[in-house]
Amino acid sequence: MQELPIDQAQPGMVLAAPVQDAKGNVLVGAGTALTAMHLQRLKERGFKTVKIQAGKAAAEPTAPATRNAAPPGAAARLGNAPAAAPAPTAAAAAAVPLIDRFEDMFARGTRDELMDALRDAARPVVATRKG
Amino acid sequence: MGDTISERRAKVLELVKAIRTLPTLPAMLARMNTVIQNPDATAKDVADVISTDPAVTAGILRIVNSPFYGLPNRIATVTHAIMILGFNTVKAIATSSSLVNTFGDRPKTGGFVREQFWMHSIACGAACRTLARQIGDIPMQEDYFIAGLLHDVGKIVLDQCFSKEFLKVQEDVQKRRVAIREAEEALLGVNHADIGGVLFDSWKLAPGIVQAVACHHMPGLAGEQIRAASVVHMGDILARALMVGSGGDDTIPTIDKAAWDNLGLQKEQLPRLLADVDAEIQRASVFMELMK
Repeated sequence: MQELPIDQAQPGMVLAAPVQDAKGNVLVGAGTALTAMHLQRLKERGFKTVKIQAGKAAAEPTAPATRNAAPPGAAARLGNAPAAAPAPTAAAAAAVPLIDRFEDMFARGTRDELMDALRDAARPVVATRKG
Repeated sequence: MGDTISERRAKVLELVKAIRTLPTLPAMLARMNTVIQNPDATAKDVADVISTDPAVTAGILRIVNSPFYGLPNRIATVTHAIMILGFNTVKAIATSSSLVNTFGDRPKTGGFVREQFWMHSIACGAACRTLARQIGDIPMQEDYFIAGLLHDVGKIVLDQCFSKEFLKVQEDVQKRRVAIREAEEALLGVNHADIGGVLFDSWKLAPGIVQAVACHHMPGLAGEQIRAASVVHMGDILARALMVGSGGDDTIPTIDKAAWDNLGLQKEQLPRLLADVDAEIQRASVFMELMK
């Protein structure tokens, strides 16, 4: 765990401890991957530091550095160049099988135990749907 | 809660000042809410007000006779519906029916596919209604449904009142593959949830609905209404996980830990919950038919 000044915290970093207000209400829970919006609102509320899980920042798929790159699978399916692949258009997205779009969506999102459990629980339902 | 919400509200109001007015609450709903507040109101008094809007009346009868309510006998009049289901339920059905009529032909701009938008909205409402049963908040299920059904109403306001900006937001979503709220924040400084909250507050809808819509991306900031906001936050995520419709981007928000804890759900319950939500979404398809 590392206590960081909030100005140095980056989207994608994972909270090691909950952010609580003066009354002890949990505003953002431990284990949450911070978004730009979280950081902005916490700054607005006067928070100066956040406690971050060590070693979690760079690997997070929501980190800005990796955000613009489409996952290799999606790029290959769409026939785009692997580097800096543009987002698929609505028409191209519709041509990609639903289950592939499902996997791609979760791969680009936060990866933690709970989100993995959600993905695994939703997969069989989505797999049976025509899309 | 805190300054942030009121500061954001001020930002939205400043933004909204640029346009003449927000959409107004349909007149029939305003009259219905007044009549229902009167403790002496009878079923017929309320039904008389609702019946002044034939499209809403037809919508109510379709909804109450659909598998969404699964009643054993056919209901032929609004008065009959009130006697069977009660004031609160019929009020909720009238509200959803009327607002689906009001907004059902939108959004219109750019890459926003209207059917996909409403499929996502209905799926979210259905997920919220299922969650109400799952967590034992059965009396709240109609309010949670409305909040879920209309959680993205701010996108309609943006589409309608800030079409140029909203097109830019959609281009940004396509280009950077970010969540639509992130693109909205980047361009406008506020997001559709803030705008939806201000709209529903101006309509004096129930505080739970207002805060659930306003805080569905930040349920920890919903103050006393954290439960309702957590339900809609989770309902949105469940609808997205099931790939029903589209809220305008192809991202899955991260489950907020404060919301998850508030709902008291366990990971092991997710498979059953998602199957229940999926079945509820099928039953809620009557709302899609209302728009055709």
